[in-house]
Amino acid sequence: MKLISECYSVDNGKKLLDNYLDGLIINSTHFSINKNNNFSFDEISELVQYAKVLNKEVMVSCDNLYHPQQISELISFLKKIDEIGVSKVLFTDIGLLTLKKENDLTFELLNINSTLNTNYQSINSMIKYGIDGFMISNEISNEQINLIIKNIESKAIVQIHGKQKMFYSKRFLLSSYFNQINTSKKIEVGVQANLIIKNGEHLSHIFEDEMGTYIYSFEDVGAIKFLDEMISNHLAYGYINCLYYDEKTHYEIIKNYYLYLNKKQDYSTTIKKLTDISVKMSDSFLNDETVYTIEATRLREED
Amino acid sequence: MYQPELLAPAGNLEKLKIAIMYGANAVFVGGKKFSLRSSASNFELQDIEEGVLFAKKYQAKVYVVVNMIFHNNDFDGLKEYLIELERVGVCGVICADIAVIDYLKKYAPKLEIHISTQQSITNEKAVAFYESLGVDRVVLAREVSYADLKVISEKCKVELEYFVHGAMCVAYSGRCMLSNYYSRRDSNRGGCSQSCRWNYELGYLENDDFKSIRENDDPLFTMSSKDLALIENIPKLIDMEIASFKIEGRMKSIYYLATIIQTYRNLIDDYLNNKESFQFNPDYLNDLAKAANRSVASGFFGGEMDESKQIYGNRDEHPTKEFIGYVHDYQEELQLMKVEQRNYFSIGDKIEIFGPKMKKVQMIIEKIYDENMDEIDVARHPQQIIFLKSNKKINKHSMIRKVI
Repeated sequence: MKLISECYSVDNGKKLLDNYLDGLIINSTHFSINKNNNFSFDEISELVQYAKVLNKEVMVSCDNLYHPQQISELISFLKKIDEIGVSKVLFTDIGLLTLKKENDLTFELLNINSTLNTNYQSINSMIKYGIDGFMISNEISNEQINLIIKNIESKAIVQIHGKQKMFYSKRFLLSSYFNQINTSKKIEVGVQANLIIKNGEHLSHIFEDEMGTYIYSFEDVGAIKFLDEMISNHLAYGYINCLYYDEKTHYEIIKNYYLYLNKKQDYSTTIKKLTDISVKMSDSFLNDETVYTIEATRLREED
Repeated sequence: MYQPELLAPAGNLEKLKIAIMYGANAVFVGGKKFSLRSSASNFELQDIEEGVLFAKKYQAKVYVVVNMIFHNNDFDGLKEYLIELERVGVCGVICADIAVIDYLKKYAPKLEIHISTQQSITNEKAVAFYESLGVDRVVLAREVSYADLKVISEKCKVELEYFVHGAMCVAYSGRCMLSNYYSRRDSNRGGCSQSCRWNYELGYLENDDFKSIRENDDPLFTMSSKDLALIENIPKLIDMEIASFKIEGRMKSIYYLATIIQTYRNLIDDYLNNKESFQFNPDYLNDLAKAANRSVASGFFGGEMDESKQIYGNRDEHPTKEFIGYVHDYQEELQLMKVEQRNYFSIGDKIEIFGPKMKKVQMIIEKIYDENMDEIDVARHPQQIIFLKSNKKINKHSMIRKVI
């Protein structure tokens, strides 16, 4: 399993590649969502060249849903990153598959629209159409994830650590709310503002940027105890989401996963160190199942 | 020749019949399995068959929604189900999971394939992908604006379906997991607990304690969207030759369906029959308002999205009490309507009756009779059968509402 994550700067990216990561996920200024950092084309190019020397890779995230007026600029960008040797593009808009074919682009396409990647039959159908890898849903159990990994002929990505995305809207929900309540206070809405929404016991992170509004889990998923099984089933990539960490914490988390995966640190030491530096870790859905039928919901609520 | 399809929801057989009689060209229904809206009273296969036979009498179509996102173990029975849908004469299937396309092509090739809005398709390149798979129709994301739609419709040959009326997900469809995290109910498999419409405190953490940033009487934070209503823009959509206009709401009442469908039907027909001199009549809006239980807005149609499209404060739901009766029959010789009571009314109330293929009728209630034809002053019992006088002919299946 290769360890992949985002980085905060070119220097930070180089350091992570030098020491612990197998691949970097880079956000572009105009085409990525869920980001707390942006990279110019020149910076992406520098990191791609650096990774090549190390025999590692750079993946560029183009994970928004695009509208017609964005398409021509997107094509130019995709051509440019293809020319400099970006190995993989992470996407959620199926239109990228059309763009890749129409423009003879050579990078691989990894579908990270994980909410729809919940079964191996659908993933195998998508592989026929030219998709090279898939981020598997965060909202299914470890058992179901392994069933998918075992039954697809493609690269699987699993988010193994960090905040989990729960919601993405094109609406500017925080700005709209503040306009509505007519507050005199200047309230920041970006990811750095660390805003939280609360309903009963449920806490979640919320932020807004020029693309819309996002909600992330309050707790970090920490999948370390499930990794051995996933690796034995040939999981291709383990993804650590950097959102809501500072650079130092993010670096330490990656380091601990690296040490564990390379058998340089045992399980309990790793868990202790991760617990010390990460906000709060949970199994999220890895040990759980969602329900959907009326009867199942009733039984669960009774339980 | 281009004829737009008015596509309406049907949560059960009764609603299917009402939707078609009130002017829908097609209806979409959910089976007991494989569809979202798990709490809608979905159809057994025999109901679907009966619905198809009914629809055929009106040259209408029935589409079945198979739009859940499957988990590994959910496919049992899908093949047999699709084969049965084809056998009973369903026109097409609305699906979101890509594997369902393969099942349809292999096991039920006569069924049309419609790609659900759960795929959040927002541009011509995404439409082109599904076009290349040979699907028959793409249902566009609710985030698609008029300007977007113009480009997509010019560049794509496949049929396009566009939402014109009803509730809106506040997030991109298929990409909201709030219900999964907050309720452990899977929104992509029909279990959505509508967590976006809950109230939330908004704040930050200070030494692990939550601090609200609300002041005084500020409303709680919510993400609730106003419903979509694009009736004023229907002529623009017709001019673009969009294949299908979708009304949302499989869980809505027959009164809601009748009101909304008939209003859109009337506008579509009025415009198609007389494009040159067509002028938008405010009565269309007034009629829609009679069934509205939530504020409406134009969604993403204009491309802008601000606080005017959101609901703040209370949930802003106002169940209407205007619907007072459903007409089972009209006896012309006695000038009597047989009515099933739906809300309280009494002698002296002013009412309006609207129904399939008839113009609206207004009158004052002068006499009410119970089942024994004894005169009564008020109709206070839900589902009570009563009789009302009307010297104007009233069609079966008409709805009666109070004029307030």
